[in-house]
Amino acid sequence: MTTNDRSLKLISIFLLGVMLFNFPLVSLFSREGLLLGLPKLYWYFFVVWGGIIALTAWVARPAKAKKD
Amino acid sequence: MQPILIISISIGYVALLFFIAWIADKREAAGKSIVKNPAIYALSMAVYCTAWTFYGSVGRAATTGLGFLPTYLGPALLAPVWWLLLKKIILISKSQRITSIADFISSRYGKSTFLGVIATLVAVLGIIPYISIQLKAISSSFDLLVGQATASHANVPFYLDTALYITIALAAFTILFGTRNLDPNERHGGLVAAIAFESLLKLVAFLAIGLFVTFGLYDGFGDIFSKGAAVPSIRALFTLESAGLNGWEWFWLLFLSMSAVMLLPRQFHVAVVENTNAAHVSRASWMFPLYLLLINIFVLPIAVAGLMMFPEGGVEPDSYVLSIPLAAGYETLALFVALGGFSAATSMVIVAVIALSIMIVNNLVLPGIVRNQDFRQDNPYSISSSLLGIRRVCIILVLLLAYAYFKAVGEQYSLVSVGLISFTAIAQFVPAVLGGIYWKRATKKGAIWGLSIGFLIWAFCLPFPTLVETGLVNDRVMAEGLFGWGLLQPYALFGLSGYSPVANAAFWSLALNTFAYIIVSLNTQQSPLEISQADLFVDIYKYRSGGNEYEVMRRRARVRDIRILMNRFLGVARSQSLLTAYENRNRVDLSRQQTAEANLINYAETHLAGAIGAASAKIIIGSIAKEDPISLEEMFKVLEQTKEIVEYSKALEKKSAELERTTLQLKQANEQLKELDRLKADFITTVTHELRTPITSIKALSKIMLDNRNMPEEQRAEFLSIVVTESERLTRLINQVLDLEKIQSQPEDLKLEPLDLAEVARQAFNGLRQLMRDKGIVPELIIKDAPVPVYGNFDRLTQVVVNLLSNAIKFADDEKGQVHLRCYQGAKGGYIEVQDNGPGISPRDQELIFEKFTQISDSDKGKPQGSGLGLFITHTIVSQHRGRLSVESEPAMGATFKVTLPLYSEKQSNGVPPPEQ
Repeated sequence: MTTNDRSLKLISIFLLGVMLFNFPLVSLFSREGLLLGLPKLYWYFFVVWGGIIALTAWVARPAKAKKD
Repeated sequence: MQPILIISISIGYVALLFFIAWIADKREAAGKSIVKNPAIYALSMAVYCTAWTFYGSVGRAATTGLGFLPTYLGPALLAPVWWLLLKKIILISKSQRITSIADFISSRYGKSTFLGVIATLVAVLGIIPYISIQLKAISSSFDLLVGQATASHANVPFYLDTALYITIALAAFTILFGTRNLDPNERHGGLVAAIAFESLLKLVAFLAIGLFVTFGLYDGFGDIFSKGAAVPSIRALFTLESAGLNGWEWFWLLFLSMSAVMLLPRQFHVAVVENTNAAHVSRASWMFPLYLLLINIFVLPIAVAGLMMFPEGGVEPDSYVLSIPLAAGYETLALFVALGGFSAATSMVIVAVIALSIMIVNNLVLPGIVRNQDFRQDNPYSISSSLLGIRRVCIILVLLLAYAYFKAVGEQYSLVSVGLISFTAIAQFVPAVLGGIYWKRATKKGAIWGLSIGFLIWAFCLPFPTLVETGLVNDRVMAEGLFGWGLLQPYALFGLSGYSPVANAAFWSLALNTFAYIIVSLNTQQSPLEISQADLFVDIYKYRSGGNEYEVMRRRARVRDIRILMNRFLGVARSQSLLTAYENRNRVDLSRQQTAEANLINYAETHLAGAIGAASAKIIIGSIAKEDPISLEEMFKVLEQTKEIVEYSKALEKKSAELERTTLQLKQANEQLKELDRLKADFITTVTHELRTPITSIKALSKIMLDNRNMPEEQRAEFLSIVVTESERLTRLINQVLDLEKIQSQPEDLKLEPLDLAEVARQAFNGLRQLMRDKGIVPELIIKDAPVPVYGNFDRLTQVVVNLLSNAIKFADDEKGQVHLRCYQGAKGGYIEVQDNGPGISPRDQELIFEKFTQISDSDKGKPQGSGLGLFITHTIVSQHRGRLSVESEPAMGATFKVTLPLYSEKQSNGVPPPEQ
């Protein structure tokens, strides 16, 4: 992965997050009712949030830890 | 709980912090630093989580549900691009030895003193409300623990107010902590370690109370939420719309927190100034969001639990975190949680106040002090200790201001609403910083205008109304607008209403700030120093890799003066070690030099900037150096040179790309040539083969006749006739090869003119009529009287018809041969059709017959007749006339060859496209 590739990937994650964490997508999950005991919106935010963290960790991992 | 217990625990905690800092400093001095790792770096960034997070989030969640989250989602969103954004800022700051966010902005725009003053004012005035909420949080948690009803601090005389004593204690603590080192320039390894520890403690404390509420008081998440969902007012918190949040508010909350996490003075301090290695950013970019996620998981459950435990109100939601364990009778847990809150608040206060005091000293106080002084006099008294003195005074001042704000207004507002006022102020730095590192054209004046306008709008829209409500300002302004102008109402500026004050203020201040920044930048010029600083900031990677620093100013100074200056501002020991390092690196002996070279002056300025800020360093170096600033033209020349090098390498790249393309083209051409060569060789092989057959037969027969003189006459005649036939065949073949060569090699010789296709058909037909009759074929010519006008070469087209007719004759039925020649004008062109009643051509052969040397062998007729070139020549000629040659045939049903030629009309007589080459 070149520096440029990594930059593009990180910017993509940023843009993805901006989309997922803003209206109107957020409002899709802003519904009453519980899912497995938790509010739907609560699920949505924390799952997406965790996903973004995992993606960032994967893309930003230091060069020497990479397999390729 | 006894106040004395709480106080002694707090003091014990502070002592622990000092111990940690002491250990860290010791380890650092021994070269075994514990703070130089990404995890500590990420934890120190978690100074972002203050009492706002610890107490305020739950309070916010109790009123707007998940509306507390954008404050943490914003940083989490931005973290992935830290690797680009934050790393660039860190690299710039390291190369320029930047000391604060105000210093960063001032340095970028030509080390402007004025801009530094404005940025410092924005930062200090913007952050004071933020510090005040920490005081509020500490004092109210103290009140709760000792069991006092949350009495209003506003009505208590100040000397009886616990908040004042807390403020004083914090000031003392911060002074001891932040100004321990005599050298203000050094990194605070101990501070970072203590902050990281505090971050860990507040996370553990918050998780403890979260687990206690969720799994101790209730039966897990499901239990809390299902019980909460039964209450309509609580159920409303599970969606955003019913909690009063829309997309516009949401967006601004995200935006504000995104700017805050990088530009708040304390965030800038831990993330940039205290950074030990820019590579740590990549780990921190997921560790820090993870920290935020963890500390937020239990916020909503605690808020829901609090609302259920205190349904009739009376308990401030901001204090649920403490009230819940206290009400449940768990005092020890409450104490531990309060300690977590204390650590959250103190870490923010310490770092924020240190960062602000550095800013105030370097950008506000020092430029004024050093401006008109002569530092050339050798003075044993080092100014660095007095710098620390000034810094201590600043710390006290900032904290007292925060206390005053708390006393005056802070108490009536929730923690988060006051915190957001500060976020909006800090967001005013966004255009100047972002533009500063990506847009070279941005000028000092643009930044000054943008920042000032944004700041004024902020001040009018957010803190000003809070003063109105305390009675300090007439409340008519709120309803009628400033000076009675309806458009100037703080909460409905320019008539925009219907949104929260924060969203409104953020929108107007940032929109006009950015607009002014861009417009003014485009209409003002940069000074040479601005140009060079802009280049350095925007293209930092170029300078890091190439190391090509150009000389901004031609400055001359005496080595002695520089030494005196460094002694005074950095202390003798440090300045001596810096100068020795310089001597070693550049292999010079400064004691032998009288005049300092530009290198040394720059070196001294950068290191002085690390202690006193870029603007002040520029002023004091200016006081000892004789300066011939490079003229604008020269500056451009220098920039032009670096630009030229870049362009040159770009040109080289382009050239090599071109070369590659040419090579590719050559390769392709070569392939084509090889292919042609192969075709030619094939052609020659086939032609010679074709030639050899008749020659062999002629040779053999002639030899037989030569050897057998007394051969019977009839046999000799038969042989001779075969020889003649074979010779004719040879001649025909040679003629056709020559024809083909001529047709293919000189298509430009083809003279095209308007002609009547029917006439061509008639002539060709008449020429061959006798031959056909001789062969017993019934010929038929079907043409109308009207001419068929086409554009072509008469001789060539005749050849086409003759070829097709000969072909038909050759294949026509032996017994009842029939050949029809039709010529007519159709919708799409002029047509010639030649039909025979021969054996026909199989579909497979139909594809091949127009190729060179294709001969259809026929088992009945044995050896094929003809050269195999006839149809190929015909096809070539027709193509050169932009026409089409096709065949329709079924086995045993004869074959029809059809030539289609474009019609000629008078109108386009000039515009007829030339035949295909």
